[in-house]
Amino acid sequence: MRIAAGVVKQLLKRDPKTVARCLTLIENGDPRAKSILKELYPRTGRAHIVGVTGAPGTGKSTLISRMIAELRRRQKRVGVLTVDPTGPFSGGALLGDRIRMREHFLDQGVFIRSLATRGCKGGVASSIRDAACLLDAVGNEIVVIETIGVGQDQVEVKNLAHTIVVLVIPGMGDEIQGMKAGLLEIADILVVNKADLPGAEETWEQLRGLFGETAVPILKTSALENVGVGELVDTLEEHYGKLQTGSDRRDGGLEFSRSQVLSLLRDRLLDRLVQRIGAGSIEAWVEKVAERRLDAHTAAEKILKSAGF
Amino acid sequence: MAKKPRILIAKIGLDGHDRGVKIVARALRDAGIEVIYLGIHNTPQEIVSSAIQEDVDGVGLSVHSAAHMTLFKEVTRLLKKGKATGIAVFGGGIIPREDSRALKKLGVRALFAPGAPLEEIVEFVKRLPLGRRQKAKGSARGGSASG
Ligand SMILES: Nc1nc2c(ncn2[C@@H]2O[C@H](COP(=O)(O)OP(=O)(O)OP(=O)(O)O)[C@@H](O)[C@H]2O)c(=O)[nH]1
Ligand SMILES: [Mg+2]
Repeated sequence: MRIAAGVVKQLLKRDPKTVARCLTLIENGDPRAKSILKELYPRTGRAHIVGVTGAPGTGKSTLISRMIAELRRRQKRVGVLTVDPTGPFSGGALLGDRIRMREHFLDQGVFIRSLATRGCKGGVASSIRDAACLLDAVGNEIVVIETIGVGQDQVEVKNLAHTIVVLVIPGMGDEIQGMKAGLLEIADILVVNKADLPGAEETWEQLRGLFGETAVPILKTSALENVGVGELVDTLEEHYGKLQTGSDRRDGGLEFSRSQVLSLLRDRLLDRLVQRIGAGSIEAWVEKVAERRLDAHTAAEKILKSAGF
Repeated sequence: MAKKPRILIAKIGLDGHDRGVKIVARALRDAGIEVIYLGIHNTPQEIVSSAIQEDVDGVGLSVHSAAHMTLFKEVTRLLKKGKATGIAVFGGGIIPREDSRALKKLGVRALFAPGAPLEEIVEFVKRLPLGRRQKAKGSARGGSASG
């Protein structure tokens, strides 16, 4: 499908309506999105993509708003994607992150978009990646992605961003113990937010006890009182700087591209499989597994076999 | 992934009670709609700029202030200026009948009185046409890029 030069031209002028419209095409899985991304691809790879993750209510959106202000002072244009879960039964979503970023609504150098997961995990990762690509291509020097950081989502965000910031708050003590493995795997920077609250020092010490030996920086911020934000942005830039130099760059780039290609391959292969044998026949195997008549491994094997693999 | 209705819900003007708008926002979510919730004390500029970036199908505004005429007028003017008239504007609040008529002329699609049944609002939103919100400038060959 050919996309008229007009759309690309408007995109590169950062026309907010056109950018917003293309993000919708991406969200809806519209084939036109692919053509647009293909056209823009040579212009991508310039933005620093930052993931901000942490349990609900840890202050992600409020801190991002403070980060935006600091980044704007440093003359950076900022794109923000906030991701919230779609309700499993209703299919609806209440997207309430934008409200915390009000001070940037009228700033032409900031583009904020709320996304719902729409109930399909694999799919949403590739939509977020494409959305970030678009915001990158239209000239944002930094793209920040907010996701809830509990459960399996964490692993996903790892491959979407160059730098992952994980937020914890005072009083999370035991939870932090439990999160250790997950955190170690994904965090490039750890932040104790709400450092204005009692117990921040203890939480920070606890993290140091767990991560002191690693190179992961551990910071304290108060998004409420706007403390520690400059240092956080410095640390982000440092981390990205390291990725840009030496072998890290090549490895990082390879890893990023590999995960992108593999995740797309997974999605496409699954699509083809469904096309070939029908969603209904997969569902029939699923039911057998649910009724404990068959284990999931065998079911997967049988499904592949029936599709001729 | 299918298209989903996206709606921005906000309170505009100075008064600060958010119970009513929150109830509407939740009812819409429960009806399968993606709701961008913008809370209280919004200005028309903030509403319109957010509606455009979020590419919503509609904007629902709660106004409980005597300034409703000016505020709605400003929102519709800014949407027009932003060439985003495909975004439907609807509202709630205590609005005298003659003002109500004037607002409809301005392009406000529906006005719900306080205590209007939630189902009515949900039904209205569900019937809004999807994806006609804003045209991307310049169209894709063989079909417009506006979807
Ligand atoms: N005391 C204190 N409160 C904060 C701080 N940062 C955020 N908050 C408050 O914490 C609450 C949640 O903040 P959000 O920014 O919405 O948190 P979030 O992590 O984005 O929440 P979800 O998106 O719902 O997961 C709000 O009431 C904020 O005002 C902080 O540094 N100190
Ligand atoms: Mg948030």
